[in-house]
Amino acid sequence: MKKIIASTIASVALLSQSLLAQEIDVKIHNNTNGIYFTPLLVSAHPASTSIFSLGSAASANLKAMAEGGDISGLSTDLASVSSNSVENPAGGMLAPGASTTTSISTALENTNLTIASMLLPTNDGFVSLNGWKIPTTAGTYTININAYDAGTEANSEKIADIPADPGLKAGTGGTGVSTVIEGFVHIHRGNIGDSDPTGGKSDLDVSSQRWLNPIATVTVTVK
Amino acid sequence: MIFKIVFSSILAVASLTITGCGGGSENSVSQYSIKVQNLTSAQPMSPVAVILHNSSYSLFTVGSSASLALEKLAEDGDNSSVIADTNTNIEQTKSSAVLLTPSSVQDIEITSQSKYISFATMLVNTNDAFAGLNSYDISTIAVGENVEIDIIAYDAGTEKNSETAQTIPGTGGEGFNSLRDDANSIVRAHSGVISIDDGLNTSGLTSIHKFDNPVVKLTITRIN
Repeated sequence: MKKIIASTIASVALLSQSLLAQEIDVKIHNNTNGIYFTPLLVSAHPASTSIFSLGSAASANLKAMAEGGDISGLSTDLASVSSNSVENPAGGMLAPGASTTTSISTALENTNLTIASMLLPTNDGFVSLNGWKIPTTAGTYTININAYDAGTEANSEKIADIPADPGLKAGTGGTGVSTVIEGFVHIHRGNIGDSDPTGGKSDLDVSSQRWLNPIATVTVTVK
Repeated sequence: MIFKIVFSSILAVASLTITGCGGGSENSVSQYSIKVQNLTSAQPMSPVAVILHNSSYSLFTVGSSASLALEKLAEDGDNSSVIADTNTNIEQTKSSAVLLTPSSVQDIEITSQSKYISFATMLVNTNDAFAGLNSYDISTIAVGENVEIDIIAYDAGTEKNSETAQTIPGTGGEGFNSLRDDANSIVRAHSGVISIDDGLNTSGLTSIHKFDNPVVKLTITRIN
């Protein structure tokens, strides 16, 4: 009788261990020719939380990430719901063509995965995976992810409006491409650029600083 | 004995034939909610057409020429011919009442026994671009579950992509014209608009009209 009880307790313990924690590896690959990803935020969090809603206005913290690469506000938001987050897994910018991998132990309630970082050089472009449901079955899952526009700043493509050009391909003297602040998060229509390094409308380089979706590939390994 | 087997085979064929009529009965009757969201920055979309049908209907085929009904939808945003299609493989069609503006969501409720759904809407600041979904199998969606489908933009291949304001309904230009002046008159993935800001000086479009995929998010929920 004692033996049976003991084995029941042991199996309950095993069960709760598998429910409490999930070990995942997350690999993020920058698919572009000349766009840099600022320090990434990778987070497992409850399904009820999201850092943005498509078609709605961006939060102040999403705006700070999309316009300036600052993930601290979003990280605080996610910490307030007891997320399991990793900041800056690449140790700086994730360069075009490069990839980075990080591991997360997720708590029971943190069933969804979010990734975000600003795209440079853009005005308010960001790459994101928005609350993807982490599978409970062990395996390797590949997800193509897109570039979004936070809708908080006009896509002027003037270098003065963009925090940095890590690839040093941008020019100067552009008169500005767009003055429209869209007001809602949507799929980014892309940079335009031009071939005039000292004039034209855009300061961005037409041949190297454009992209098409999917802008990144995410590989999640559930152990 | 032989007669009996033949007779029952005929019966089975007959009942199969009846089952296949009118695009229905491939499935039990189910209720679905279809949420359609425009993901572009500045491409209003024409009233959306939703078609419930069996495996013998196809709204479009990449690599083949568009039907006249699809041409009207893609050039003019006029889905009336797609909606009024009397093809017996269609169980039912539905149209939304108004334009689907950027960022907005429309919710279309459907009660259907069809296995497949197709969908189309025009990007109105283009010559003949449409967002389309062809024959998605909804019978695999479990009750209470939903699927999110990213929809890309297609070129109907029925009108040259001149981008002049006179040829684009969204800029006050002409919609449908039966002349098929696209050099390659097949449906294919759309290569995007160029716009005057990107160097096409005769374009009636600006940079805000550019788009990348996906252009529409479709969320289909099976209610019962």
